[in-house]
Amino acid sequence: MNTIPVEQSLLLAAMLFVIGLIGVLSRRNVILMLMSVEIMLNAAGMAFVVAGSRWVQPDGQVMFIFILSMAAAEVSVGLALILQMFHINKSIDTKTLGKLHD
Amino acid sequence: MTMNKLITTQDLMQLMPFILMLAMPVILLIIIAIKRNHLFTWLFTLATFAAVLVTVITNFNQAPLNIALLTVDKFSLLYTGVFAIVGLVITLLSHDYLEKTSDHKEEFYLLLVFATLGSSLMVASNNFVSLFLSLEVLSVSLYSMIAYLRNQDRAIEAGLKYLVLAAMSSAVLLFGIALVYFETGVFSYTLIGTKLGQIGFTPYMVAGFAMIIAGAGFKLSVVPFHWWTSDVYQGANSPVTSFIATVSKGGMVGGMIRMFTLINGLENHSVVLVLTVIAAASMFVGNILALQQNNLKRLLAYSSIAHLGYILIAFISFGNGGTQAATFYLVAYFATTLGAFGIISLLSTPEGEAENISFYKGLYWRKPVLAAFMTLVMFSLAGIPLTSGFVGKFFVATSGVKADLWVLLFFLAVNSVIGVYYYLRVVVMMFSNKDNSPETIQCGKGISSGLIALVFIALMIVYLGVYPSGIMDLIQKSIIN
Repeated sequence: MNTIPVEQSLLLAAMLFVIGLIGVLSRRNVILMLMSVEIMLNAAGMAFVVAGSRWVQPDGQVMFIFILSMAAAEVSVGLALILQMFHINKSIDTKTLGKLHD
Repeated sequence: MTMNKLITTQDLMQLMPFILMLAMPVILLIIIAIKRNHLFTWLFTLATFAAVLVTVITNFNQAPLNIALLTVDKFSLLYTGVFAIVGLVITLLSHDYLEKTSDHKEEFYLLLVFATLGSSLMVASNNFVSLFLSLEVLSVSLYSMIAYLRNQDRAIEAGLKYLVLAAMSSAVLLFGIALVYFETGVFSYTLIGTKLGQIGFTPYMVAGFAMIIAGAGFKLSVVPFHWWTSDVYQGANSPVTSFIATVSKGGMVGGMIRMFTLINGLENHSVVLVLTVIAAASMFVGNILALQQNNLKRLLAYSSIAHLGYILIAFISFGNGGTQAATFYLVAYFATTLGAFGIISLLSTPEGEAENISFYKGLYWRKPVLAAFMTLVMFSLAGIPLTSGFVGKFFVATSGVKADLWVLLFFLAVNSVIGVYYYLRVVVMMFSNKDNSPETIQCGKGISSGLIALVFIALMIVYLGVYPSGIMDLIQKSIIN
């Protein structure tokens, strides 16, 4: 039986994480930034599943459920804020933010 | 055959401070759904924090309770008690502030209690799962608190910035935990500590701990994870800013103290080196950025970066009375910061916050009592003797001397001098010539529940500065073994 080495799965998780990180740092659209954060969180979740399978424990998958529910809470607040931002600025581009500066 | 009980009445009693902070807001939520009443909600929240404080005091001398996710010992109870007192003070300050700025006031108190719960649980966490969960309880409550005045674009901007960056830092922290779990197969701090003793710092462990420190460093707003601080401090309303500066950071400091104690993380030289660099950079960057600042809230944000650097010195000198010094410094800093933001929120009007330093020009001639409070607060931040800030710095320096951290102590001394300059600039501004003071600026009403809170804070600052051994004995008793 062919199994995938855990290191490779972890590498995949790390790559997803970096993709998400680059997304957050480079995107200027708030919704896309939130999506990139989601990719990072899910990459971390995947790393937990991989680690759990390495030790043959359910703990990794339990952590993934926790991450999912926490991400849902976070996105619901985030989307509410984005709605309000659109309401005020008529845009969801981060360039329209900038009331706070030195 | 004996029944193996999962949880006993005794356990529940010991968990009571946390249960209260969970149950009371839920009850309040239902009451708000039926009928809104600001005064009742406010009194209910005060009662909640008072009840938490009472249960903390009655449980304080119990034997530590260790359950799967939490350790309720003197250390976590001490922090929970302090957070409850801070919660009380912030509730007192929030009433007038919300009354004059917000049209929907009641939900704020729910978020406040939930966020305090998150911070308290963070200190009680004995493994990474509960650390993560309590961190998120704190963070998600904070997002909504920061953007609470939803019609202000600056509040929304601050909320969004904090949300994106905090979620990102949570992801970093999580990935770090995943790497540690990948290498050890356990979440509990104690078991990870044992495992670490056997396998040492493997590359996965190094990467994992680096990411955990980065995630925690974001919450503590230490350099180089400090970029959000000034914007969020400025954009959030003052009661919330005082919460971010105190309970949110205190929870993370407490959580890290427990984590590093149980894992023995500070026996590794590279971890100490990384923390030393972070501490030094935080002190310098924070103080230098604060020098040119004309916005008081941003000034306090930058100064908080520097103060966290001071706390890190105590943190690094761990076994040499460092944890006690860090805890004392936190308490002293809490009192001082609450005072500063308390005055700002008292002086704020519906049109805007009293955040510009020029607003304080000649304040003494208009509001002598508030100006006197502000002077005391600034003296304490600068570390002038007879204030809490001085004693805090003294304890930090003592632990640093015992641990031979001479370079960091030299930086501490240099930075204290830089700090004195910009703190005293505010004081000089307040006592400056009457004729130049902008008379047109309207001040908020003076006598209120916020003023009671300020008197309490002022007494605390002087008490901690004159008679620190009262609190210090308590802190000595509650160190983690």
